[in-house]
Amino acid sequence: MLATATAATLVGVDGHIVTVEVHVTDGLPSFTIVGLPDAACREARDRVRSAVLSSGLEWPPRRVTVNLAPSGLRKGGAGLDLAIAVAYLAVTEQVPAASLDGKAFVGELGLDGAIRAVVGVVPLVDALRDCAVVIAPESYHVAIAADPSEVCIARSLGQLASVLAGRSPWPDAPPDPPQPQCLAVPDFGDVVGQPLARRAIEVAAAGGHHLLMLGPPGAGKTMLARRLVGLLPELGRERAMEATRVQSAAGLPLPTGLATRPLLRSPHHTATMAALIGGGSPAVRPGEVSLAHRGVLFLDELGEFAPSVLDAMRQPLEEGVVRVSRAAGSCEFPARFLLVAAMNPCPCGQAGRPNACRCSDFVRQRYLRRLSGPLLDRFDLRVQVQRPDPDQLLDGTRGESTETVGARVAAARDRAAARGVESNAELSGLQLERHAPLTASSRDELRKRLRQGLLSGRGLKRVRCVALTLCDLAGDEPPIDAGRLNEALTLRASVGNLHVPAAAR
Amino acid sequence: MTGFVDAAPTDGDAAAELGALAELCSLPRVGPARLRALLRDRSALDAISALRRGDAAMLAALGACRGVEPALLATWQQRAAAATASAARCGRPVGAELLDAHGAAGVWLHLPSGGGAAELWETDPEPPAVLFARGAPVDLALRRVGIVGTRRCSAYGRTVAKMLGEGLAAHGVAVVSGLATGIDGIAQRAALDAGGPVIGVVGSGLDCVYPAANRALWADVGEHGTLLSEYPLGTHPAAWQFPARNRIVAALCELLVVVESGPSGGSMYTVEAAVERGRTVMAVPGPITSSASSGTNRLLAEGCAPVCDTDDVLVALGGTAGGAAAPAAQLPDDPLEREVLDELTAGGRSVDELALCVEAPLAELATALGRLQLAGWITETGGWWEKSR
Repeated sequence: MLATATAATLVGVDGHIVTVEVHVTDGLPSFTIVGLPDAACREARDRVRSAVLSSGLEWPPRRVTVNLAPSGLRKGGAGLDLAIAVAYLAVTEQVPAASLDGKAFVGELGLDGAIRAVVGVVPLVDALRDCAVVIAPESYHVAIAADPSEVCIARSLGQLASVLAGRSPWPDAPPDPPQPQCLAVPDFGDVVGQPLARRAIEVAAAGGHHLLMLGPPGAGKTMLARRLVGLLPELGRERAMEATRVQSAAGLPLPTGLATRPLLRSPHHTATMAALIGGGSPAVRPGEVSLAHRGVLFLDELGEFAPSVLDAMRQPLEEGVVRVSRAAGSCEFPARFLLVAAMNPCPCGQAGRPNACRCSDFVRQRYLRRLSGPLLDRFDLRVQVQRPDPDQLLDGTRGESTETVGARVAAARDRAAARGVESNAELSGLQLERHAPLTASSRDELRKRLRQGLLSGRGLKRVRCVALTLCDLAGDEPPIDAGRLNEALTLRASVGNLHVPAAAR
Repeated sequence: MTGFVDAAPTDGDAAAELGALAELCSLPRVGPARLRALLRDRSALDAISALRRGDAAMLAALGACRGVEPALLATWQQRAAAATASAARCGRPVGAELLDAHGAAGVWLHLPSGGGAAELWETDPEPPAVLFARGAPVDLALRRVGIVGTRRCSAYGRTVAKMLGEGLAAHGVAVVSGLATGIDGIAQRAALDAGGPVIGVVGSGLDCVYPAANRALWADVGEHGTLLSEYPLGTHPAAWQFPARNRIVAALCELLVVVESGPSGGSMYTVEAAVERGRTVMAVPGPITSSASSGTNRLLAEGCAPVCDTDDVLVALGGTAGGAAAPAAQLPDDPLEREVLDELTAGGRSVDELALCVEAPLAELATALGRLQLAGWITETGGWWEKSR
């Protein structure tokens, strides 16, 4: 006697459909699960049996074999419990086998028969979008974010069995959860003084330019990064879905269902390669670069991160995806994020202030050598952030609010969208030629800088890109004049030059 | 012609004496002071044989030196014996192999006590027994100016060091310095690039480049100028060797210019050594708020002559000024640019600080900074702006 139920398992950030086959025959009583289950999945035996018995259903002493197809795919976690239990009930004729058609079951079982939420509901439900998916009530609001054809809930196995047997109707959907109050992002108006830092944050938000803040601890770098997230526009449905899938697969809480607000991730500088890029065994989990997908990845104390970990970010920064390969298989995670980093340019805390910094050249160079040139090159914006002026802190003036600046950012992003890119940072050299023409005077200034060795070819392109964003923010039409160009250059401090020993200059 | 710094004669007895001297220098933990003690009232050959014999009077005198314990004396004796034995086996004078190794590396030995430089060292309180040299011999007629300063210099110091190095090179004056990071290296690099003579004195063996960042400069000085060291090849840098090196810089120059220096440090040691040897010391004035100029400003307050351009140095050397001074650069017309320059006079500022001081919109300030940078008035490092002239 055989019955099947449909479920899904998580591989990376994608759901894969799994068909659960349960076969019951006479013979020595036993319960076997085959088809590459991991430890948590194999333990389903004990949970399912107890849940069936606790729910007042029967478990006759017979030989039970469960197969999870396709059997070559490694299945992890407890999300297949419910499907195993339901297929067992169908094969033992406690629910009609036909009632399982067109349905899928995703949930973990408690020993008392309760149905519990599982990690990765969004990608799982997304994979099962053609079925009516039965899940735990607490997952309901997250599951409908994936926009499936139908979502049903059941509180316990007993309730589900009675619904499937036609003895009772489906329970009502749970009420909308109260909107969490803390979602209000901190206001940009809290940033007092610091005109350059404010400007850099605005430009980073508008143009998607990666930002490096140089400054001593306590200068408000973390505060600035938090406010940057508030300036970013809401994500469209498609982008929000990309982010939600990753966050759901990583088990992050999704209080609003679909994550329409960009997320700020700020891993500690002891983060390992696997934590930042993704990895783990046997199940590969997305790393911080993917959790920050369509959001902001904030790396405080950049110089303290392991150099190998930082260099591993170069490929995702370039391609927007990260491929993690392990012996068991490889996964591809999305990783298109805005990188915001903060560091002190030297260990003494004076941030390299001329004549005040007490670090020797050697110490300063060793500190900066931890960052590779190619990584520093990725930062279009590099600004000095200092503790705000005490007078300004105390006289109670506030800067422009998130609303005002956010409107400018949104307008600038719209203009970028009209050029066919998400943000100006993605413009190619050819597109720049077309969309960011230069006036004669700005061309002249650039030529002088290139001649004097103050600017490299790559730097030229990035400066032009930032200058275009400055134009967009001001609502001006290109061509780019010398003023904008100079402002873009001011937003690009020469961190790389510190590598050049003074005598060689 | 006898040079001021030239190769010692290498015929017969002289070669044997040089070899013995090289052996003595290569003994473990022998610096200038201990070398002088070893050579007191005797030649290097005699010192080697006295060590080998275990001459009681000599050992007693050496044992009285600070830090020379019996174990070290015993090591020296063993080394002297081994060197003599190996020389006897090959039938060559003591230290001949060492001399060959130095010769193969392009290093020659200079004896300060002989030749054209005898006069210079006669009155010196701590003359070196020997100098290892690479590059061209230095002519007696060459005028020599020492340029020293802090390793942690400001953009201002860099500019002045470069200006003085170039200016002196243009007048054929040799720049004597220590090849260190900061002022020393910048002045010598500028003098070299301008095609002037340079004399570099280093604190380690001529094959042990320190600081490693100055490797190219080190090689260029050895090729186009003269590179000097008190230490044989293979001697690694040690902290005490640098003040010892500074006294040679002070002795070799006729006039010492301190570009930027804190209240203490290597440059101030060079100043002391120069004063002790009766050399003129001059200093470059700097902002009173800059810690990198606090030492030079104090020197000026104590009566040292100020250096405001290369001509000041040339006049002090007894020469004539090199013609009309370059006209003072025309200050920029733009009022904002002038204001920015004024703000930067007191030291480095970040853009945020400048924006608050001059109360101009960021875009205008950026334009002013960009123009000033292109015109060479200011430089930027790591987000800090400094005046460069």
